[in-house]
Amino acid sequence: MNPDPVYQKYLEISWRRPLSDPEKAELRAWLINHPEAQAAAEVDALLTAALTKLPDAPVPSNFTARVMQTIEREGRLQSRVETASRPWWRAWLPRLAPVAIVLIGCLVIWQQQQHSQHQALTEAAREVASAQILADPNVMTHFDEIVSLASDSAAPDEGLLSMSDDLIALSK
Amino acid sequence: MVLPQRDRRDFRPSAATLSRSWCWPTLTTVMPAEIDPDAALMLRVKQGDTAAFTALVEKYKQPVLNLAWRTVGDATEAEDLAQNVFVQAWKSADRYQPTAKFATWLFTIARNLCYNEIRRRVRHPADSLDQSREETDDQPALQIEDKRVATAPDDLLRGELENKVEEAIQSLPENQRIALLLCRQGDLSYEEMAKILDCSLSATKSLIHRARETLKARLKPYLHTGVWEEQK
Repeated sequence: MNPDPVYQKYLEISWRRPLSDPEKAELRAWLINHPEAQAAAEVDALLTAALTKLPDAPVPSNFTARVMQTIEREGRLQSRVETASRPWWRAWLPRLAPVAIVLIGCLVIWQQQQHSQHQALTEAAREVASAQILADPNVMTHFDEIVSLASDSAAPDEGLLSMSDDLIALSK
Repeated sequence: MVLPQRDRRDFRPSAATLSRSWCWPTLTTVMPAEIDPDAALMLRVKQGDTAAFTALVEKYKQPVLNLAWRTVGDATEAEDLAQNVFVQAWKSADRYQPTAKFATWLFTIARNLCYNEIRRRVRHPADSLDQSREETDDQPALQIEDKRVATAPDDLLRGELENKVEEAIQSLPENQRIALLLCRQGDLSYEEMAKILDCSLSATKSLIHRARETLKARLKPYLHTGVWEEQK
C-alpha cells in the first residue's frame, strides 16, 4: 500500500528536523482522519527521538590545531619529495640557462664574422681569377720580332714591293 | 605556525588519489558564493587564506566527526578519519567550485573516505571486542568505560539504551547508515543528501526509509516501552 503523500511529506520532514507548530497541527488533523496510521506514526516519532538523543562524538580540544599541523607537515613532505625526485640536471638548469644564452650569442656573432670574412675572401679570389691570364714564358722567346711585326713604324720591304711590280707588269 | 603558500605544485595528489576521481564531486548547479557564506570562505581558502580554513574546520568538525564516529564505530579512528576529511578538503581547494553548498562538497569527501575505511576493514577486519585479546606491551587492551563505577542507575540505563541504538546503527549496511546519519545532521536537504550519496532523490529517501524500518524492528522493545526490556 502506497503511503499517503500528505503523511509521507510530514514524515520525511520530521526525519530531518522537528516539525513546526503548523506542520504538527496538520499532521495531527490527518492522523485523526486516519487512525490506522497512528501507531506507525508514534513508533516513527519514538525512533526520531531516540536518534536525536544520541550524543555528539567527543571532539578533542586540539582537533583544529592537529588538522593544520598535518597540512603543514604534508606540505613540507610534498616539497621534499618533489625536490628529491627531480633529475640532477633540472636543479642546475635554471642556473646554467643564462650562461648558455650568452655562449650561444657569442657563437652566433663569431659565425657571422667568419661568414663575412669568407665572403670577402671569396670576392677577392673572384677578382683575381677574372684577371688576364699570363702568357707562357716560352712565348716570350720571339717577343721582339712579334712586336716589330705589329709595330706601325716598321719600314716597308722595298725589294718585295719591286718584285710584286715586276710580276704585275709580266701578267699584262 | 607558517603554512605553505597555496601553490598548485604543493599538494599534487598522489596517483592513487587521482585514480579515485569519484572523490571529487562534480556538481553542475551553480550557486553564487554570496548565498552560502561557507562557500565564500572556501573561495578565500583557494587563495591561501588559512584563517578562513580554520573557521570552516571549527564549524564542521562536530558534524564530520559525528558521521565518522558512527560510520567506523571507533573514536580514535573516527578522529583520524575526520582530520583526513579536512586535510583532503585543503588539498582539493584548487579544484573547489561553488556549484553547491560547501557542506555538500565537504560531506561528499567525508562519505568517500568513510566508504574507503569501511572497505579497508572488510579486507582487513579488526579484532572484535567479544574476542579475548592477549595483551601485549605495545598493544594495550581496549579501554571501555566502566559505567558502574561512578554512574547513577538512570545514567547507566540511558547509556545502555544509547549503546543499543548505536549498535543498531552499526549493523546497518554502509549506504543506509551514512544516509541515515546525513539525515540526522538536520541541515542538509534531501537534494543535497542525494548529491552527497551520488544517487537519485527517491533512492536517497528509500535508503533512509529502509534504515529506519530496520532500526524500528531492532529497537522495538525500547521504542514501545521506553526502556530496554532486558533491564526489567
